[in-house]
Amino acid sequence: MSGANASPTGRSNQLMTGANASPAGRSNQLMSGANASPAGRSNQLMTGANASPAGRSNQLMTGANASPAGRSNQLMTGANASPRRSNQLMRRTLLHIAVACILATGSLPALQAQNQNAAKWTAARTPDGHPDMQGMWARRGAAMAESNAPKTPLSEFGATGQPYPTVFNTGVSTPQAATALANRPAGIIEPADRVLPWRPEADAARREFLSHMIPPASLKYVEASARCVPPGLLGGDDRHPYQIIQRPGSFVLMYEYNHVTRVVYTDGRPHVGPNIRLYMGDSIGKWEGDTLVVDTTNFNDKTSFSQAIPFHSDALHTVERFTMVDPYIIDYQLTIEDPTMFTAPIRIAGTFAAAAKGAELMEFACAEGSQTLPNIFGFGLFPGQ
Amino acid sequence: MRSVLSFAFWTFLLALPAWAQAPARGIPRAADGKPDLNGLWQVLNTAAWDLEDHNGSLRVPAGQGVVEGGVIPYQASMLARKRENFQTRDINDPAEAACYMPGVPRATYMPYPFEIIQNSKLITMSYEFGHTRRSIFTDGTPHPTGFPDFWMGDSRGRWEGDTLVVDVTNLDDRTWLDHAGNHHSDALHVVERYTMTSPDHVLYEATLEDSKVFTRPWKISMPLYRRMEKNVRILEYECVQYIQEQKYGNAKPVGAKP
Repeated sequence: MSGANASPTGRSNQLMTGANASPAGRSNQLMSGANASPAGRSNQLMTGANASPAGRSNQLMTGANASPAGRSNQLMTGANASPRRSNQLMRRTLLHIAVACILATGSLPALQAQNQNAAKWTAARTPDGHPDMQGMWARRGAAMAESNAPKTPLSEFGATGQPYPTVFNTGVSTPQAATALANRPAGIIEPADRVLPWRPEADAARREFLSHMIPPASLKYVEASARCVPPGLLGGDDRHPYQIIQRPGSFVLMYEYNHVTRVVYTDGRPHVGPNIRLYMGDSIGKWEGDTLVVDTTNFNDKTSFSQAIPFHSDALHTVERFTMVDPYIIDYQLTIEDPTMFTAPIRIAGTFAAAAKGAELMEFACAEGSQTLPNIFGFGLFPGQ
Repeated sequence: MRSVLSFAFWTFLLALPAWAQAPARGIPRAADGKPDLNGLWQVLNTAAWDLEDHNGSLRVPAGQGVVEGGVIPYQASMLARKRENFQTRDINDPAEAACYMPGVPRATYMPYPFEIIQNSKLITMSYEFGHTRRSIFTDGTPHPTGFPDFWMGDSRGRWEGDTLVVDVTNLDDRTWLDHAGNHHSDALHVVERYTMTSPDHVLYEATLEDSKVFTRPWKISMPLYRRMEKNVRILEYECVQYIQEQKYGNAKPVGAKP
């Protein structure tokens, strides 16, 4: 879903008109009812619909809610009041709108022409002049996916078939997923063959670690997420959305997963002292043109990169680059240097795609009431547990 | 001379109410004109140990209470549980013994800093204790219906003049109000008021209403102080990890290989 969504209002209006002239006019009404959205917002929905010729309702959803910052919030509020019903209604309605739009505009080439217009898109600005990335996002593709990863005992153990709770999770299905994301760089991009430049002793250490995970030999071999360890930069579960807030002097990235809040200071301050060690590291940022570059140090050695790479060292140093390429895509690049584990830097690419659903970050409680460790060790934190 | 002094005295007294009600001057303001609460804040009191007057004891600093009227108005049948909680607080306090999220309003007066992250639609409070976080929606949206209880509740805020008023519902009944075992039910409804009284001070007030536990609504208040150290930031107090290490660090998992 390229920048088509950013098409000038005039064009969306035109399409709208076309749609309204067709039976979709009714859907449009429905839509407004469902979300109590004033006309202006419907415009945007329409734009989303038109921008995705592939026309899956999922994709449309993205367009619908992908609006940066505040608008998606409002939309979602309606949906949140009764998540199941509104979402179904919205999905069905959007499908109707999509079909109507394709009928109304006549052909796909018209849509492609619109895509070319989108190249002129420029980001909205925050009051201090930087690209406005505020809003709800789904992260996709940013993972330490080795091409030759050893089999982990967890991959066999993990398929319990339990459905993922989606009712109260804001979820991050994003309409981008089907088309636009397929063409975007994802995962390890350097080294190109995705074979990590391991130091032999570090690779041996992780294989030793993996061999003691099930059953866990001791607390430290219990998988990090089961211990509610903060996820670091790559250990999170990207089924949960992210929210970005920008203030003069700082950029805030909030994870729904494990309720992590990263405040990236862009006010020129230095890193904290070297003896302060943090699960999420200490992040300072600077703008290089329209790209936010985030330098993070002061990590401890207690978070994992992936199931197959369950640790790193406290020498870890990362550089992240956030670049908005259209209203619905933030290009994300992550460079990882950990000289005690790898002989060369590793580069990872990913995408923050505007979240389809999810006006609000929900509460993610992890340790609270969890029976994982009591089950593993046979006793709980409280007496009688 | 006496009459001049007397005039000054009465003028001062008469002017006092007007002065107290005038909008605070010189406080930072956001682009939308609202008071700008962005920054790191922390209490300087002992409410986390006990909301009421209390003497010092081992690892508990003495303190004057923050409850208006001095005493929490428990229903008679609810006092026994408070006493039982107090007796077992070192092993049963959900926040201190298990590092669960402290709930509202307790998160505010834990002896750790918290950061307010504010824009025109959303105010986020990010607490150092257990990296707990809550979002306060100020976009006019109501509390959701049909949602479960949350450890930190559901917060919807609005501005009354220069005061941020936050309505909190959906609070989980498993949190305590302090380390002394003061408790509440799932009917707890909290209304918080945040009023900047200077660029570096916020008056924090919270009214607690719980028809299952208290005889009437009651109120606490205390100042919040801005953390002003150069480059100060929220660090990490990951007590879930510390407690796990303490409880399970030397324990053998059930079924572990010998």
